[in-house]
Amino acid sequence: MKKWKKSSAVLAAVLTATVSFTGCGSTGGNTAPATTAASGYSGEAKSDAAPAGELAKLSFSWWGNDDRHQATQEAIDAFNAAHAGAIEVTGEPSGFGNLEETFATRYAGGTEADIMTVNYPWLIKYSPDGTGFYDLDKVKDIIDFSQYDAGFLETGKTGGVMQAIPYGQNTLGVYLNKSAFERAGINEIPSTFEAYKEAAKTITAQNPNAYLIVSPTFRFAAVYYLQQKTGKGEFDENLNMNYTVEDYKEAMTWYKELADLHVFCSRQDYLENVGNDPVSIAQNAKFIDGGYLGVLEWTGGIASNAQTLADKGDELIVAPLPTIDGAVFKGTMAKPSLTFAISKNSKNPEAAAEFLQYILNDPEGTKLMGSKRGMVASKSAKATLEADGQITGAVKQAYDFTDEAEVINNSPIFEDAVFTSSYESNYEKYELGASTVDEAAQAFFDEASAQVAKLKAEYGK
Amino acid sequence: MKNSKIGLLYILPWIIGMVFLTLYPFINALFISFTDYNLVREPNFIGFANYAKLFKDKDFLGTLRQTLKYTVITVPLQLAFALFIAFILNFKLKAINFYRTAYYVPSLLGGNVAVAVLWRFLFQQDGFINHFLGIFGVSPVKWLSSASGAMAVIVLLKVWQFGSAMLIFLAALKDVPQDLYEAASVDGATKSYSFFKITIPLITPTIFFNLVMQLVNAFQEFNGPYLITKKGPLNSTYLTSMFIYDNAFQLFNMGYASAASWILFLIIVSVTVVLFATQDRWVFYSDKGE
Repeated sequence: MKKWKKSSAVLAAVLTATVSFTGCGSTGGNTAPATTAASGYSGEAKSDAAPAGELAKLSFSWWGNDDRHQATQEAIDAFNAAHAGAIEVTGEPSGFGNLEETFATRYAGGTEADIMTVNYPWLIKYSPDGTGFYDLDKVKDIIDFSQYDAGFLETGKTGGVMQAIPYGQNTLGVYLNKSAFERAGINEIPSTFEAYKEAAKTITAQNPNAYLIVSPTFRFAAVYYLQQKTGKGEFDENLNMNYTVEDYKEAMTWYKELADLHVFCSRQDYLENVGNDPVSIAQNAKFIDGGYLGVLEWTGGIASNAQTLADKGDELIVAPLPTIDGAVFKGTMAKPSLTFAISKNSKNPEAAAEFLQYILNDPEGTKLMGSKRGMVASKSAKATLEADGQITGAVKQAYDFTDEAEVINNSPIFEDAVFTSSYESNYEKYELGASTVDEAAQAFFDEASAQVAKLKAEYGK
Repeated sequence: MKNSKIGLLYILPWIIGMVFLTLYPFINALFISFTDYNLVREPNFIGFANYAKLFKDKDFLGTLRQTLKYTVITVPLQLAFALFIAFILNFKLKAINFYRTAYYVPSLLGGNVAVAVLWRFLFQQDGFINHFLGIFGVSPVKWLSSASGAMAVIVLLKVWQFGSAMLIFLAALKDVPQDLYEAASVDGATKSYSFFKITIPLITPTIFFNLVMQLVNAFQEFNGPYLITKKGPLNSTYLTSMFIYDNAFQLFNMGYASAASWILFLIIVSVTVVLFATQDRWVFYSDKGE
């Protein structure tokens, strides 16, 4: 009998332990029920704007580092002071981690902020038909859209409806630690891949573990190569794949050859020194120590990256774009950086629009916001920052580079996690000898094709 | 009657937590596993499609293999180490309470972020471990960039957290009657003979309990690999719990993730049932035959 009791106790403990995990892991119970989720997606605005004389309370969510938090809070305080008794904005800052988990959970539960920071790929995901966020055309008298390039504003539309305002353009470029090159005796910055190969020989002779260019996302280099080779982006406007298995095979082979020569960072070295996940270059210890001498990355992070190196006395510069042999396109890729949207559940969309106008176009607001979110697209904001002396050094170079570079705009599905993860996983198998390049390219192509089909079905393409 | 009401009141917080934070999500996950729920759009009932897809999913099957490998390596090592330390701490030593506390600390720290960062530094190519091994002429080991090295790192982290099992073993060792050892000693039994013929048989119920609990924990391991190695080279440390997390919170395939959770749950229950079925052969309860 005692044995039975002991057995029962153990079994009960097992069930409790497993149930605890499975319940949490499944997420089912931690998320809003289906009906609630649907309301977040298709619900109407809770009520009309606050009546005249009543305080319109708004929330504003964003992510970033301490610098960005501080600048944004200062802008909020200044806006609140100027609208005392009429509008009051409360900030909801967060770090860089778990961005979409946080956003998706709040969005599904209908508890999102009135004014939201929205990643570009999320627009089509959460609003494929243009009904997921507030229609900004309804507040075009408040937000001055004339400060933006009309074509660029199109990236904020889904289903033909203006769902968000893109904050700025992110362009993929090569940024080098000029000081580290000079310490190695290289005073002329490479501008071709041949020059990079020569530079790698010189640098690895002094530090065998050094690599010239690292990218937090291995797929960037492959797409950079294939864009130059084909003149096309990875996906067309109907979300079809533009590249073939042979293309991906060629890109993987090209990257590995350059990784073997220490031009690009090898997967093995990245796993050893950084890990599996993309890590912000500004937090990449080997980059900071000069073990990685450059980076293939979006312009958006250049201010932080430059500051990180400046803190230890090194200088970051924007390098000329290297082109591959036989390139039919001598440019790079671009995308809108983060965007701002108004919740369709907001009680005060006009007040929210006033706040957006303040932080995006108003001289005082844009000056306070500064360059903490990368490069601005608003002409008036750029003029303000230039006049205030906030666009200098590497940031100035990045603005010039963005103005001059030929770009292919990325599809909104480009950054879908499945593509990035699948490419890295299959390239890793190839580089570490667990598969051939044919197998790796085919596996990525198959997985990407399946995901494209899924996304097209979800987005009604 | 009054006492039972007071008792109920005391355990009410636990009951509320169990019902709303465990049982409800658990059952809800079962329903969701039969849908294509993705957090944004309304779920559609798709029958067993998620389960059928999982059994063809190379990633999922790979995580099951890695989880099994992790469990098979970790659990015996952790139990052996916990028993070894408990055995030593059962001796009458000076400052024994300090040692007991010190050995339990790793279990309190667990796989938190600070520990994970520390372990990454320790096991990097030019980290402390390789420098230490270098003293003995061992070439640097690719701990984090080779499949076997990455698995070894997360196994070591788990084994290091042996404190809970150790405390339970320590309690069991204290319950072993001393007169049995004295009698064995009179009959000329050596220490090791006594350990294997007296100690081990008498603590088999505790070994069984620890085995079951550690198996359940190992099958659900998440923190260590998530914080230190992520998927690891060639997905070598991609465990099923991480697959569930990725699908739920990275890809928002809630239905798919829920189905994977339920399969993991059923595997854990099956293993536990098998263990229970074998206990008659090797677990000795003092009241056996009553």
